[in-house]
Amino acid sequence: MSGDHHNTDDTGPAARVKALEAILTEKGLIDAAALDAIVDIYETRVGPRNGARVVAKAWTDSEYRKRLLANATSAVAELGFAGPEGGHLVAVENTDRIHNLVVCTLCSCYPWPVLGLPPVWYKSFAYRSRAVSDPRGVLRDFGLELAPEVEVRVWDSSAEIRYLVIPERPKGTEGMSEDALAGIVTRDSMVGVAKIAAPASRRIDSGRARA
Amino acid sequence: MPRYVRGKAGVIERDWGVFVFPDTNAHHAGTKPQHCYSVAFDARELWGKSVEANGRERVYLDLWEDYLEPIAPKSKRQTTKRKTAHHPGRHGKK
Repeated sequence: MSGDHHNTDDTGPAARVKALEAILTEKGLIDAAALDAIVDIYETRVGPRNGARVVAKAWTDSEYRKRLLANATSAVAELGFAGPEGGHLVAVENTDRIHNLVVCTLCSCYPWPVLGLPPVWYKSFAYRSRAVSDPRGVLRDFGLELAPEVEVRVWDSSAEIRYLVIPERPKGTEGMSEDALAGIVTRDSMVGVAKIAAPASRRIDSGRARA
Repeated sequence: MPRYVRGKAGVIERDWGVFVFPDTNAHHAGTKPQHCYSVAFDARELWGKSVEANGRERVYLDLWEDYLEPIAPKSKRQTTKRKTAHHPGRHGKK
């Protein structure tokens, strides 16, 4: 699965978007520089690192975890994250008995302020249709085999709510700092298509991960 | 509303509060604010026996009031209520 969310293909939607952008700019309806600034913000400044900080804080601060589960929008705003597609954020927590998975079957709704822009596979028809009809199979495709007794909860973002999965904190991370923990939280784990592996070798690095 | 839940029985798990209703708002026919609920559907209710499901798979959708209608409980396996479930998990079968 590609981590690149930018479709560089010169056919289909990408070509259409380029054509629209050219026409709108020509007519003076949009400012190309403003558009570039917005794209830059979401490509380089807002991304899954925000969500990773939220998760790491929830793992290490039980009061914060409670606030996050009660009202994710305000808990995330405490860390300075807010904006479009983040007005009604809900955090769902993975445990050894419950696994949450997020999808948007209608389009590609995604919690931008904490995860940035969605990856290409999240927007694919295959993921959007199979995540709701065969979640265990989709997870298997991502390399995650869930035990049959684990409950799967699929969240189809069909309205204004956007979902962030709080992955399980892996074993062997007990001594790690919040900053070091943020470094091991992956985007895929916050969409719910992956778990975070126990960092057998990372334990040694925990002390200097901050540097 | 995603087609795959039309006519299916689900359980209201949470009330997210009142939101603008996009179905009318998008057509400039008014904001028609109304409650939006988190409704849980058992995978077997949605897809029948054709899918790999052991009763521990649920799909949650956020559905506006106008999409829902009350139905009588069919069986113990599937209790469906409407509008009365204003507390998280109150009627949810965990």
